[in-house]
Amino acid sequence: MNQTPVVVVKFDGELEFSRREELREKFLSAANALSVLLDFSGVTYADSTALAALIAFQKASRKRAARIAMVVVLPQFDRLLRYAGLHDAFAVFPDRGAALTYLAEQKAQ
Amino acid sequence: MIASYPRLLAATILAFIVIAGALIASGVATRSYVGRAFKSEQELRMLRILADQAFKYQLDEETGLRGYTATRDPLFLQPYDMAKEKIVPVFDELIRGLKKADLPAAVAGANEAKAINAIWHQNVAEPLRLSDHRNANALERRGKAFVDRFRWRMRDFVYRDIDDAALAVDREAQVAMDRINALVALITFSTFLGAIAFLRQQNLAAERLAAERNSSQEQLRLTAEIRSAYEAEKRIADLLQDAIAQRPLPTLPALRFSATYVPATEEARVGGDWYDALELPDQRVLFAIGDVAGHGIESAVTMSRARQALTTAALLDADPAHVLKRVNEELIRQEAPMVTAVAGYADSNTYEFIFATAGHPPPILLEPNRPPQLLECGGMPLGVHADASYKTRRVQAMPGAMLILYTDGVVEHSHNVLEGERLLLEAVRRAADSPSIDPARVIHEAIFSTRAVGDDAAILTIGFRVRPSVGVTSSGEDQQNSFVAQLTRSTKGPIILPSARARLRWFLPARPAA
Repeated sequence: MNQTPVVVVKFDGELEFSRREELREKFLSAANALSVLLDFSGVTYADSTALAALIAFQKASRKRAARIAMVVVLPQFDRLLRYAGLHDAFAVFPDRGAALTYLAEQKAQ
Repeated sequence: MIASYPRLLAATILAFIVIAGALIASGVATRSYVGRAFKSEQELRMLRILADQAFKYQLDEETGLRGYTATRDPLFLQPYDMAKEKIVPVFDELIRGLKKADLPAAVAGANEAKAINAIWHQNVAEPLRLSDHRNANALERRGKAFVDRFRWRMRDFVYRDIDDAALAVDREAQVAMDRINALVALITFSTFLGAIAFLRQQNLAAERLAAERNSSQEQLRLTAEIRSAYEAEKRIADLLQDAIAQRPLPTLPALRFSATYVPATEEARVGGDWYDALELPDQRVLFAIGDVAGHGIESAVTMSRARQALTTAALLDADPAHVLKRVNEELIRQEAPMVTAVAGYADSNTYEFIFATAGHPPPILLEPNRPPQLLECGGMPLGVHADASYKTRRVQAMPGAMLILYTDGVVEHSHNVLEGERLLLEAVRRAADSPSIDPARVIHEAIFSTRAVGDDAAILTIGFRVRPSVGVTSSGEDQQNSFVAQLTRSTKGPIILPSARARLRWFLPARPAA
């Protein structure tokens, strides 16, 4: 069985323009991974710069056929993702367990 | 003793006279030193301001022209024309001042920069202004070379000479201060307290000069170029944004519009919000609101393109989802930054709102005697995925109903979007109860009277007027003639309006085949 490691990237707080360097580096750390868990459980807000970075990451991942699972807990952030139409573009889960299960199933296929 | 007394008196008086003379002389000397240093310091500062202005006008011209060649939106020519008018007199004043201050290298540099600017106007800028220029790319490259040469002349001759002169003045002032200090020490010895007080004053003046010099000189040197570049960009972006966002709303018998637009207070967060409401030639009424990610000239350019693409697409296609798809394809082709938008039509015969959303916060529907309702949203932002598709939503409303569109600044002020939505709905309720004919303003004020505007905040409302119940009710025939109803019922593909296509020809050939 092909054991692709899952790369976990965790974000916290308010994702804003002022933190764009940090966001860039975090997304870069998973730039080559084929299985990525984006943990947004502690995120309350993301401005358009942060959402654009997330969308750019999603786009790049789709190109190399990487699997992405997102953990979203707080309703205010969930709402922002719905605004941005990202609920349809990502697999979104309420906790890490469910997200990891999804990634494992994807690998098994 | 007695005999020597007059001599002593005379010696004392003489000493007084000598010291008084020395005092007056030193006072005059230091005063003239300090005065001269102040004068040339001020002169040089004035010259620097003039040089900054010339530099800024060149930047304004270039950025405005860049925006115009990218979009062919004549709005961008406004900063270009304004700067073009002012740059020559500023250069003339600068050159006069530099001559007076005896800075020959700077005079030569400024003359050359002025000449380069004039050649740039003649050979690059004006030809680029003429539409459909075949060599636009080559011209732009040439233009860039001119602009680089302009900047180089300004930096290496004008600014450097002024700064060197300012340094010389600094040194002179330092010498003056050393002398003043020596005098102060000397005369302190001679116990004339009044003189100390007098000279102390002189010393303070010199210190003030030194302090001012130290704080401003270095700062000016480091930031002038960056600052003027940034300011030009922000000035133009603001100008364009005001002009673009505040296009007048149409006055129509069956529909009522209102809108507010308040730009961000924080300088670095100038966004690209816009709204549109316009009656198309076939009497459909298009409404749209949008937000370009990022800030500055790039987002102003994207805003202009997105709006043009949207209006063009709306002329060709009556389905809002198709309209957004076309705009998306156009923005992808232009590698534009991400844009979120809502676009749709209001049909005053059927009282329907037909719209589609692309990554934008949901519209709100307000109907008489009902609580306001957040409608559905979704769809990827525009300019992200080439194959993104959008969903048209139809909302059957009633006379007196109103659709409220807004940008994210309206709900994200607290960074908690759920709280923002709650406050917005409350504000909409307040607008429903208000007799004001400007609901957008009522909503804006209800939210922002106690909160700072952190990001651009735009609101657009589209309301169906309540028609008088006697006489002029809409007939069945009217309903059949409703263009939107016809188009959306009868067609799936695009509807091509030849006249519109002819008018917007420059835009169309570049569109990828659908």
